[in-house]
Amino acid sequence: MAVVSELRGGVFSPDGQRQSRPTKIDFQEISKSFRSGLNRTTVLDRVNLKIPEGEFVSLLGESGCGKTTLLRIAAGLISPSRGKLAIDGKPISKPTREMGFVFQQPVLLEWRNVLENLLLPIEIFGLSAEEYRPKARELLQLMGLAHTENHYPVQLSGGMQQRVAIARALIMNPSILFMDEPFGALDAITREQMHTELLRIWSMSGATALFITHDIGEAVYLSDRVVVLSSRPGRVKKTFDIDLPRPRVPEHRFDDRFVSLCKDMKHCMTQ
Amino acid sequence: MSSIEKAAPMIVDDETMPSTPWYSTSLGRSVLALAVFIILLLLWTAYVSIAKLSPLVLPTPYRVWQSLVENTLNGQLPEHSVTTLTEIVLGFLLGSVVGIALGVITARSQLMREMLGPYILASQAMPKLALAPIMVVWMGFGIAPKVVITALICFFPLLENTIIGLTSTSTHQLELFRALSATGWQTFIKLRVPSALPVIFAGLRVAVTLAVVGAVVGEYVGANKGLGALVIVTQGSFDTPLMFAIFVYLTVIGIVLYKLMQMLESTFFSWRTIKRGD
Repeated sequence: MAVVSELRGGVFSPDGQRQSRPTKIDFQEISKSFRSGLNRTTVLDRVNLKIPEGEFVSLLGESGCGKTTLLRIAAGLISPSRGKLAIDGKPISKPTREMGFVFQQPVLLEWRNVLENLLLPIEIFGLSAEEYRPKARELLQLMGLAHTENHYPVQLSGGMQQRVAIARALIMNPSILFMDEPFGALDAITREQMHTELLRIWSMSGATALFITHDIGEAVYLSDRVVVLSSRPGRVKKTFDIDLPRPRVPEHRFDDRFVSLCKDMKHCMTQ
Repeated sequence: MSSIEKAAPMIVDDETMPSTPWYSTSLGRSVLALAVFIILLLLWTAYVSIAKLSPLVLPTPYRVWQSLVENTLNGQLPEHSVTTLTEIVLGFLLGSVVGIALGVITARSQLMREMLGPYILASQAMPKLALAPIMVVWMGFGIAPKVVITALICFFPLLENTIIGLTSTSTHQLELFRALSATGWQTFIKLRVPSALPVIFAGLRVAVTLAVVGAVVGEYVGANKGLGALVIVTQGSFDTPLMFAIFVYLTVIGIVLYKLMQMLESTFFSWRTIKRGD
């Protein structure tokens, strides 16, 4: 945990000013349109966005605003129609080992037990599963899943399955963590538990996080910055710096600052 | 750690679980099956004696039993069973292997699917047993034509189930593999094949029972050995009790093969039999 405080300590200087950090993900004039029949639908329109290394950034917008498309472009899963995307200053065309993914659904392989699911990326990257087994167990421990390593996905609740998915995303120590509404399918109580869990494990990883949500409270609670996207076509409407102290605790949700940030964002979204 | 959910308990609370009725317990099921069996035998015997049927038309269960024991002990039924079983097993293996292999090739290539699609359908619609006479013409009275007919019958359920299984992989899981930059081969071996296995096994279960039909009908058309050939002989010699004894053998063979498939399947999919915790 000492490492963690060092990592997080780098974010703010003693006088509370945000220090400039190298850009991790750089969206430059990104546009994306899809063709359906004779129509062309513009999903993203000239999005400019710089995500600094180690930050937790949420993309907030209504459904259909192109936030998932933006994430898929950042991950190299699809290419933009126009514009450039750079990670660590280099253009990207396909997903790399540097990236961890958590999707809306846990997407576990139902014929593999929890430990085997965690080791799937290791196998695909051609590394020794044996070597990573201790690391996988450690992650399970961190996620409170130590007792489930031999369980199959069908035996786990939705929240536990999504925890396995998060652990799987972290097994390779990714420098970027992409999360596409990972808690959307969970009930409110489980979701709040997952927020705490995610922040704890993310702060230890030091990874840059790009998180997609349509839930304002979730965005504010988790993020260093929230980027509000407009709908049809998707544009960056406004960026909010979240200056709530870390580590975040559930009480922050009733904080005046928290509430006023939520109000501002709600106002911005409905404008 | 207090916020962390505990694993859903695997034991269901007694109060919430309805008590198992006696006929659903394993002893209850056996008793029930035996009772039905005895009742059927009694009805059968009663019918034969009331209608005063000749044993040539319908022998009593007791006569069938006598013939079964006699022909088992003198080695006739076991000997012919070995021939039929050989045909079943060889035909089943041949048909399954070719069916799965062709299914894999077809599933992997859109071009092959488009090209072969209509012919797969046409050959599936064609009754394979109707080919038995020509097989005998081509390959004689040995086991070869029966193996081929059995293989043809087993081939189609496996071809079709393999294609369906391999092409209905979840899009979410495919996206995960793409995000992990998995190669086409890795996606095939680690994702498409395992998710297709339940469907392929369903095909195997269908095929194994069809294999018995294929071998026996093949023997009807022309053979000097095998349980099917023996049925034709008993038809000529009016040895109806022996014919019934052969039916018993064939049924037992079918059940045993089916159960073997089920056992193989359950060792593959231990995770499927696990009950959900909550």
